[in-house]
Amino acid sequence: MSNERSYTLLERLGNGLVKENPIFKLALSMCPAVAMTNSVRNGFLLGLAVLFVQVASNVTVSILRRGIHERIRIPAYIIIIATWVSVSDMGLAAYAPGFYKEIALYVKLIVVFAIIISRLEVFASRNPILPSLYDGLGMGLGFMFGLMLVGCFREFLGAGTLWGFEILPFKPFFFWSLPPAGFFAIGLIMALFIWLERKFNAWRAKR
Amino acid sequence: MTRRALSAALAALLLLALALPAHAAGLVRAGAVADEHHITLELAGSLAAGWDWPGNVSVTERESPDIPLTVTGVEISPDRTELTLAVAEPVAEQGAYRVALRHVEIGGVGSEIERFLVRKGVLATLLSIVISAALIQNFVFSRYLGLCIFFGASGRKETAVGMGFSFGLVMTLSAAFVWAMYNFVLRPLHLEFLQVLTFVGIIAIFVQLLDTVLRKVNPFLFKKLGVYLVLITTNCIILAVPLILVGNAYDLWESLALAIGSAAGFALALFLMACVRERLELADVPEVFRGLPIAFLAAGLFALAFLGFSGMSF
Amino acid sequence: MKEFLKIAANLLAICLVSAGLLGGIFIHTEAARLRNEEARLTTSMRRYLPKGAEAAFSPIHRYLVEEAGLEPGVGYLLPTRTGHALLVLDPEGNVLHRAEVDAPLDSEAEREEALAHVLPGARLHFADTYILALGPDGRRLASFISGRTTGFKTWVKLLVALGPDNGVLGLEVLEHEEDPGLGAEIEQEYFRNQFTGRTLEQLARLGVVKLPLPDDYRRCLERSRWAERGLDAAQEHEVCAKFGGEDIHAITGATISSRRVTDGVKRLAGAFVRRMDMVTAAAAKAGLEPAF
Repeated sequence: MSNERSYTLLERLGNGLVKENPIFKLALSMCPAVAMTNSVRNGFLLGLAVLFVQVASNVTVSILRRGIHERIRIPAYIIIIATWVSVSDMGLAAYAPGFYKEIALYVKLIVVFAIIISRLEVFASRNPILPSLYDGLGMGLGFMFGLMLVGCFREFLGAGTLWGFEILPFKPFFFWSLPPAGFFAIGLIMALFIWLERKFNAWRAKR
Repeated sequence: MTRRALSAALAALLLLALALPAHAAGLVRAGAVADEHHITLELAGSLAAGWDWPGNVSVTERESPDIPLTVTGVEISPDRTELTLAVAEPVAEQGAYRVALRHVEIGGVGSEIERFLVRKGVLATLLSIVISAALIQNFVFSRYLGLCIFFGASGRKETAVGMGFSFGLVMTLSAAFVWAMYNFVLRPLHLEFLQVLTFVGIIAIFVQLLDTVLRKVNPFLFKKLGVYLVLITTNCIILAVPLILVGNAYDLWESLALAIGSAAGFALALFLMACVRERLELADVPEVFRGLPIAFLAAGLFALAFLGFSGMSF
Repeated sequence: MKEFLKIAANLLAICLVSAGLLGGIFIHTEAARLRNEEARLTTSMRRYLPKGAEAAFSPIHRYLVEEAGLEPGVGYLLPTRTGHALLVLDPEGNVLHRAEVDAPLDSEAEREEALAHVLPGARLHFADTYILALGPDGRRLASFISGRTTGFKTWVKLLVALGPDNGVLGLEVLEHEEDPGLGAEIEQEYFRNQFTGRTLEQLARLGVVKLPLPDDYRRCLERSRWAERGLDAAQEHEVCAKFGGEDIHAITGATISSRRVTDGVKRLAGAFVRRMDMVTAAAAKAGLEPAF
């Protein structure tokens, strides 16, 4: 069922950032989006790690797509993801210790992020290398964008800061710093996304 | 088929009960940490009159036998079979403490020095792991893991129950397998760096195996659970549990308790959420909030409620 | 059957390739990672040493020694002037065993092997490690105690730095799982720095009060953040000294976490000082010359 549409970089980026945004539209990999987004910085760092793993696994699966047997594709994908995660974990620990110190907590968990395996299954296993690379970039950036948006919202309201810089001299709503507030933030932003999409579609239909 | 499985499970439980160490028979029958500053001891008989505590009681932490804790008082119960030791330093229920009583006569038997190790019983420890994984540190509402499946499978009560059951099955089996793999293969060979890879590999292969076996052996059960099996691979909890059990150096029973507790907690979360979402369908929700957004808000309320468990110990 | 073999071979190939890849990378990066970790620990310890001081870090490993039919003892693997030695003491501080150890002791595995050689038949549990910073003349410049204590939710791992007079130089929170925004504030400077400068006697009597942190005290506690804004260091020092005798101000909404950490610091520092006295006395009796 491979479709012969040609994917361009721009189209894939738009798809990942807005049309099929992993967090707000596909609702995949919500765990980090809830637990680790009480600041923009956390969101950015985690997004960066996911971007790398997503692109690397997309390309690997795309190269190997004819060699992997249909029946064992899920275990095979998971092993590929786990390999790339371990590689980035060990590589960062050895060559970028300062950066690794901040990101170490998140890296191992990336293995089970549903967004990565679902992109392998839906896209990379059916498309050549270049489009898979673009798709990985788009999805990774979309994920990072989603995390940072939630992070912005919660950090500003919860701590009165953005990226650690003080914006307000007081903490407006401490509630938003608490972990459960992640659910509320995502629910609200998701509703906002739906509302904007409707407005946009209505506006386009009128034209 | 089911009866045989049931009797096998019963046999396993019996084995577990037999494996528990029996209490050594001594002058002190049992001991427990009552609260932050008190330890209670239950004696085998009544304490002879004339014994006084100063200089005759010492309490140390098991890990540091050379640093005595300061005993500030001993209360003897009216029937003289129970002692309550007051300690200045805070003591924790999870800790282990050595208590020594000198020159005591209990139930007519005298002893120069009577030692006792106060710690939680094995069954109590297992139970506390189960409760803590299911409620206090509920994986969905307190650790925020497994959310993809949580939102995907909590639409209907029926799916929630099916998912919860299959998850429990896979979780328990793979936890036992992962435990054996780590302790008998990875650690002796110093291959710890392969742990993530092996764990997800084991889980994925396990799921695939169960899928194949169930399809052949029990098509009826497969029709009910098969859909969920594939989804389980991408559930964060299924990897988090092995990482936790390895990190805490749990033994086999503790690992199983953690797996059962986490599965029960996940099933509970699914069921609660399914109940709410079935009601929500009938409610008059603003249009843009229909479906997932309102489910997120409801989950947030649950998480706030579960925050109330935080810091409890059982 | 043939299909099955094909699938199995396929999966096996993927597993082998990825395990091989990881193994190769592991061998290449492991040494660098260990070096980085050590460097990180050393830098964070150096922060508590006088500027420009020359210091060698030598660890004392503490073990719980259980031998059949005997009261549990405490074993210390300590540096001596000539090499290393194992000293096993009973709870009262009397020497049970002493032995010179001349095997390499750099990794946990090497230490276990050396100890099994020296004390055959005994069960050893590693308890903790004290790190001493020794000056060129063998004087103790600082001591670092790592250990864990119960927090509000699970364990909190602490690193306490003590000076030569056993006063507190500083406190670091290495690991914890407290709630973000509440108990997790224990890792903030304004909480940790409240311990700095307490003498051992003050520490023993230290309590926790539920009072809001005065603004000027907070400012001098958060030194690193405010230093950039050009505050007078000497003046801040004075403010800190003014409040230095007070009890620990609990974190708002996390009194239990604050109290547990305070108790932990008291316990760790107290046990360390007691043990060092015991070890020094016992080593003198046993004819050992410890390097500190």
